[in-house]
Amino acid sequence: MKKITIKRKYLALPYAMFMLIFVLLPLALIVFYAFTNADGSISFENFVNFFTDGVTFNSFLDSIWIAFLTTLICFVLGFPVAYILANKKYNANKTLFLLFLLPMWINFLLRTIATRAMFEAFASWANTEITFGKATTIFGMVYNFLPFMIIPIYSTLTSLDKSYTEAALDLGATPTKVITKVILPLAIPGIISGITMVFMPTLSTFVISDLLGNNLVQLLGNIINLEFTQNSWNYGSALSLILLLLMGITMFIEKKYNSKTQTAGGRIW
Amino acid sequence: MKKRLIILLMLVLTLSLLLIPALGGCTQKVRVFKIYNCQDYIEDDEDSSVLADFAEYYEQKTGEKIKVQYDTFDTLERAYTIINKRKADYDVFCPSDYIIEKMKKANLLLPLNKDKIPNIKNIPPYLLDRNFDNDNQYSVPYMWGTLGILYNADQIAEEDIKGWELLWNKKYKNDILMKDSIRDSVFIATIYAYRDELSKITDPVEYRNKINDLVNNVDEQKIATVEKELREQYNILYAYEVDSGKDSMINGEALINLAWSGDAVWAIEEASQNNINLDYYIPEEGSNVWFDNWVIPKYAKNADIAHEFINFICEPEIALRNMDFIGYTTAVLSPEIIDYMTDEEVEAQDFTYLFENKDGVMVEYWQNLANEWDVDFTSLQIHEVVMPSKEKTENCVEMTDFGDQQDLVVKMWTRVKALPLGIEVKIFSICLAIGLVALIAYSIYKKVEKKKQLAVKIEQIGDGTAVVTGSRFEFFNTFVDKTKNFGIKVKERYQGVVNKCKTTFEKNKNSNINQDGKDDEQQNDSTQNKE
Repeated sequence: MKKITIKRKYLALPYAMFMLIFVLLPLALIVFYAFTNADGSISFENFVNFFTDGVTFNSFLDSIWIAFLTTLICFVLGFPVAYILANKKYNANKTLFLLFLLPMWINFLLRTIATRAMFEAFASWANTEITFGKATTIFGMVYNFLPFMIIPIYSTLTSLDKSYTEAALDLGATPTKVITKVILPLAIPGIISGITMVFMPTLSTFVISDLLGNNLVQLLGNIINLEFTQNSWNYGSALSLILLLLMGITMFIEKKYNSKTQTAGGRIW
Repeated sequence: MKKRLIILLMLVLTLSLLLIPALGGCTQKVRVFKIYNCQDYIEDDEDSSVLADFAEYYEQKTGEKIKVQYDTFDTLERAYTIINKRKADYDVFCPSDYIIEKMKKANLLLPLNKDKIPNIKNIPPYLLDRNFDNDNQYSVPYMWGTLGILYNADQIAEEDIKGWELLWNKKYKNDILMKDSIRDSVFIATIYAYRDELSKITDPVEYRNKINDLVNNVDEQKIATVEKELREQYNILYAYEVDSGKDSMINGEALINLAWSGDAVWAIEEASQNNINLDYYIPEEGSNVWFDNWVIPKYAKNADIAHEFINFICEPEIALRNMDFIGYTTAVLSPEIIDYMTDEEVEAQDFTYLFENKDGVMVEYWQNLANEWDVDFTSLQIHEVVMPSKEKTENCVEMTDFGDQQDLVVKMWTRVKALPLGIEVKIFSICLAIGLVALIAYSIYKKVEKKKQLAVKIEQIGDGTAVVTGSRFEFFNTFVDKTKNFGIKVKERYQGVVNKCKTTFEKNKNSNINQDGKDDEQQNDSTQNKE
């Protein structure tokens, strides 16, 4: 009798198939459409258009700017929160942390619509008029992606060895110095992970800018959406590919720096 | 053996997951009749549903049980793509005029057999035989209406209510809603942009032709003119919307909205419950009259049911139910429908244009019918939100397909909505670019340094036969080692197989030589082996 053994790697088979059908195949299609024109012949005109049509590149820059702002605000708001949550004194049984996660249980679209309703309610209560535009869009993005900043930083900080801070304090460092010289550098893996987790989705979102910007804010995601709905898949694919490349570069940079700091600091997961 | 079985099982499981929808289709013998339409664009309530009634009607008529499936789309352009590229097998589809034209050009429609749709007689001549589908070869009208301005009658000054100008009135900054639908917005912006040129024309026929030419043909210069107007409007808009505008108007959030007549009917009714007075008008400079017609797409599987369905929809009683539910104006006319449309507070207008055919000749059948119904079409009290009067329809034209020019218009639309690049964005972009360049330069510099160090190391080692360390060479070395090991492994395995083959071959050879005399013995041998 042969011994019955299942090689563990076969368990990954369903997922591998899923990846093939739903990730690799669409990706190949995007690449194909990006490098062809409407007639189906190979051309680079989509990429030339991106730089020369005077609109798309500007929206691209605008998208990066808005994503950058969102990430910055998320970090400024998120880091202190994560720091406080990581302290056992305030978050003994993780209830507080759970409260911060709570909004993520609600569907993203619903949350955004609710944000809009909240703005309207506020406007009628304060008897002012709110102009939906860039500012409200950034607000919506921060609100939606803040947990993605908090969670990785929180995880890093909780797995951080307490003795480092104790040693720093014993050696005469002020509390601010402890944060800037000890905790912040050690939390860098979490921070970088948080930044990518906020930056990348904000770069490509179009629903938030549609709902909270009253369709007046046109980001790269909105243009891609328009191109696809207006039947010009080639240009839309090219733009998606550019976005994808940008995300790849961000990931690459993140990985490069993360692997360097990983050994010294706390771990993310 | 069992291992393989488990793998096979897993494979079957994953595959079956993919196949469930297909299998589900196999087990059903009932034909599925697929309707492709806008959301809520047919009466479908729990207690009263045209769809359910049709299934019943069809079963009574033919004895065949069918299942009606109602699928919806959000924009016509996307629906067109789905039918064109994905070859979706919808049996009936309800697009607007210019899409029908486009589908006709792309050969995506089945011609209708009008003998099977006798109820087409309920539709007045004005709605039939339009330019997008001459002689109604491919389509039958369902709903129709106009494009106009929905405004808050309480807060908009009387003197401002004229023409398309209202949508550009700076007085109402942040209170204006525009459609995020390229065709419609560009349509009215074109009429507005050329208002001076149009106002000089006095001859009605020439005027109409001019509008037709303006809105349905695009060129670079015209796009530039329209873009300027839209760009100007962008700065005073509250929002671009497709569907949410009605709600904004009902809440009083916005005061002016470019609206389709059917949406306006609904909004006016709802707003009155909020004590907000909304009203609608069609600007006298001219507007768009649109038609939503039923067609049978090329990939339809149940064209016979589709014909029955279209005929059923043209039944006056069904048409009235749909109109009551949706709020849009049905293409079918009957005394009951006219009664439903009549509003006592409205001034009487002439609606005889409904009976005119394309050449402006009254159709006798309809005149007789009007006499029979005892309805005076020269003076009916119908609000222009429900049906435009004769005077207004004279300047209303329908859209035609832009064809290849569509891309130009889409590009223009992105330019209109483009945010002006703020100074902070510019500074940020420049910083980002400098940062990126610096990063790349730094990493290249580092690489070069490393290489230099490596070269020094190699020199130090001497003759070069020594193992070279350093990231790239290390990688190379491990690669070479790995391939070597792999080669050896393959060789070993191969050797084993060869050896096995050799021994079996020799065995056979031996047995073949001995076969003649020792047959029985070998049989004994094999049975022993089995045991």
